[in-house]
Amino acid sequence: MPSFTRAARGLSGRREATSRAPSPGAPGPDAAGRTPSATGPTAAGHGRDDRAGVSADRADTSADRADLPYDEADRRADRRHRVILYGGRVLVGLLTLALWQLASGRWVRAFFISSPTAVGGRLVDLVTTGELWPHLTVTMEEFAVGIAAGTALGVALGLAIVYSGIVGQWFHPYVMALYSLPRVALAPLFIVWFGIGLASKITMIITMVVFVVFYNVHEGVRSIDPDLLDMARGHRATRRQTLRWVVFPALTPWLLTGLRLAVGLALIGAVIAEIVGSSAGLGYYIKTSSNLLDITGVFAGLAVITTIAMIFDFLVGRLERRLLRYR
Amino acid sequence: MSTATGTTAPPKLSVRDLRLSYRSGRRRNLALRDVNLDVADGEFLALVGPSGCGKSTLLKIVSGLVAATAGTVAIDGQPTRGTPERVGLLFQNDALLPWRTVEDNIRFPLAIGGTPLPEQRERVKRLISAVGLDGFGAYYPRQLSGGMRKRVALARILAADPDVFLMDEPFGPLDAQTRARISADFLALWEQVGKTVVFVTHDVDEAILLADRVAVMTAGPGRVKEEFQVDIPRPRSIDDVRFSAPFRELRHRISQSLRTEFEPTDAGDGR
Ligand SMILES: Nc1ncnc2c1ncn2[C@@H]1O[C@H](COP(=O)(O)OP(=O)(O)OP(=O)(O)O)[C@@H](O)[C@H]1O
Ligand SMILES: [Mg+2]
Repeated sequence: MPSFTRAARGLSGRREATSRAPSPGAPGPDAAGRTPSATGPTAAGHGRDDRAGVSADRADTSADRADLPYDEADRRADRRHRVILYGGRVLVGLLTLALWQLASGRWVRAFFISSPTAVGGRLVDLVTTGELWPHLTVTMEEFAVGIAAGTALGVALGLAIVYSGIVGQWFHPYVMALYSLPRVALAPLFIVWFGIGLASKITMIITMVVFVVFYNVHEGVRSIDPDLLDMARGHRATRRQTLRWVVFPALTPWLLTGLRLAVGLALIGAVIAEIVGSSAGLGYYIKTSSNLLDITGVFAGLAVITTIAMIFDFLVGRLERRLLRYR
Repeated sequence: MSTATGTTAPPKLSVRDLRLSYRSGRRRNLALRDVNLDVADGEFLALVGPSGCGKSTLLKIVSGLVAATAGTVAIDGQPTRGTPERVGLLFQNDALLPWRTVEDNIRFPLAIGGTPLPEQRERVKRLISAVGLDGFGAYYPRQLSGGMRKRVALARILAADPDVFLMDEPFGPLDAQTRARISADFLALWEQVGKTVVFVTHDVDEAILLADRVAVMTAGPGRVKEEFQVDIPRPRSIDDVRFSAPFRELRHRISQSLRTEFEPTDAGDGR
C-alpha cells in the first residue's frame, strides 16, 4: 500500500506559477481573496467581512463558548456594529442605484444604460408573466448537474494524481496545461460536438469547475500535516480509515474554497455556452435581448444571474461555518 | 520492577547497529549512526541528547514510520516489519486531529482497532478522568491549552494500550510546574501498569526522576554514548527524590556527559 505520507511529500515543491491564478477571463467571485494560501486555506468564512468585525470585538464566538456570560454591554456593542455594517452596505447599494437612475436619460441616453426602475419593472414582468421560469430552470439544471459532476471529477482527479505516485506525476503537467486553456473559446466546439442542449452546457461547466476543485484538492492533500498521517499509520489505520479520519477532514476547507469559486465559474460557463448556442436559459435570454438592442432585458438577465451567485455563495458560506466549527 | 540486567529472555526492545540517513536534495544526511539500545520488559528508559541528534528519528524508526538505512529493530526478539502492533508513539507535537473533539481524538485508536462503540465511549470516559480532563470531552484541540493537549495525546496512547510506549518529549514545551504535575501523574499511571517506556526528554532532572535508566546520545549524527542506571527506589515521590544525594550525584554525571556533546556543535543543532 503506497503510503499517504510519501504520496503527499512526493509532490512537494511542484507549484506552477500559472496554476495559482484563477482561469483567465473567468475569475470567480473575488477569486484572489478566497484562494487558500500556501500555508493552509484561510477559512473563507472567517475572512468574510460580515463576520470580521464581530470576531474582532469578541475573540471567539464559536458555539462551544456561547454559553459564557454574554453581558449586556457586549450585546449592545455587537448590535451597533451590525447596524453600522449592514446599514452602510445597504446605503452603498442604494447610492449606486440612485446614481444610475440619475444618470439614465440625463447624462447618458437611457437606451444605452437602461435604469434601475426599468430593470426592476422588467424583473416584475418576467416573474408575473412567468417568462422567467423556463429560462431559470434550464440554467439551474445545467448549473446543478455541471457543478456536481465537475466537483466530483475534480476531487477524483486530485486524489488520483496525488495517490497514484509516479503515474500521477506523468499526467500532472498536462492537467495544468489544460487548465491554462482559455476554455471560453471551447464553447463553440462543445456546441458542435454535443448540440445546443443540456450536454454541451454541462461539458462547458465541467471544464470551468473541474480545475479549481482539482487544484484545491491537490494543494490540500499536500498540505496535510505529515505527523497526522504518521499518527494514523502508527495506529495501523487502513486506507479508508485514514481517508475518513484525516484526509477528508483536512481537505474540507480546501473543498469549500473550491466550491465557492466553482459557483461563480459554473454560472459563467452556463451563460457563455447558452450565449453561443441554445434555445432557452438566462444566457439565451440575455443574448436575444441584446440582439433586439433591449438593454433593459440584458440587465434584468444579469441581475438574476448575480442573485443566483449570491445565494449560492451565501449557502456555501453557511456550510463552511458549520463544517469548520472546530477552528 | 525489572532492570536491564540479569534477564534471560530477549529484551522487550532491541535496537542493533541502526543507521539512518535522510536524503536532502542530492546529499544524504546522516541522522543516526550505529545506535545500539536494549530495553527490558517493563523498564522505563529515558533518552537524552542534544537537539537534532536523532532522538525523534530513532523513535519513528522503532514505531515503523521511517525505514532504517541499516540495522535492525526487534521486539521480543522478533525483527519488526512495518508498523509493529504493540508499539505506541506519542509525537513530539501532539498530532491531535484538529477537527475532532477530545473524546474522538482519544477514541481514535479504539475506532481504528474496531472496538464496539459503547465500549469505546466507556473507556474514553475513564481515560479522560485518568488524565484529569473531566468536562473537556467535547472541546476541540484548538480550545485547549498546551498542557491539556499533551494530556489528550497521553490519553490517546493509553487508549491504544501498547506494550512499548515511545514518548517523544511528551511534556516538552510546558512550564516547569505543569510539567512536574503531568509527569508525576504519568509516573503514577506507569507505576500501576509497568509497561516498557522509552522517554525522550531534554530535561535531565525529569529523566532521572522518571526512569530506571538514562541513555545519553551524542550530538548528531547520534549514537548512544553512555548509559546510567538510576537506583532510586519506587514508588518515587518527585519532591523527595529531587533533594536526595544519589539524585544530585547522578545529575552531575549525566550533565557532564551531555555537556561535552553540546560544545563542539553548537551551531549545528536544531533544524
Ligand atoms: N523528515 C526529515 N527529512 C530530512 N531530515 C530530517 C527529517 N527529520 C529529521 N531530519 C534531520 O535529522 C536530524 C535528527 O532529527 P530529529 O528530529 O530526530 O532530532 P531530535 O533529536 O529529535 O531533535 P529535537 O531534540 O530538537 O527534537 C536533524 O539533523 C534533522 O535535520
Ligand atoms: Mg525530536
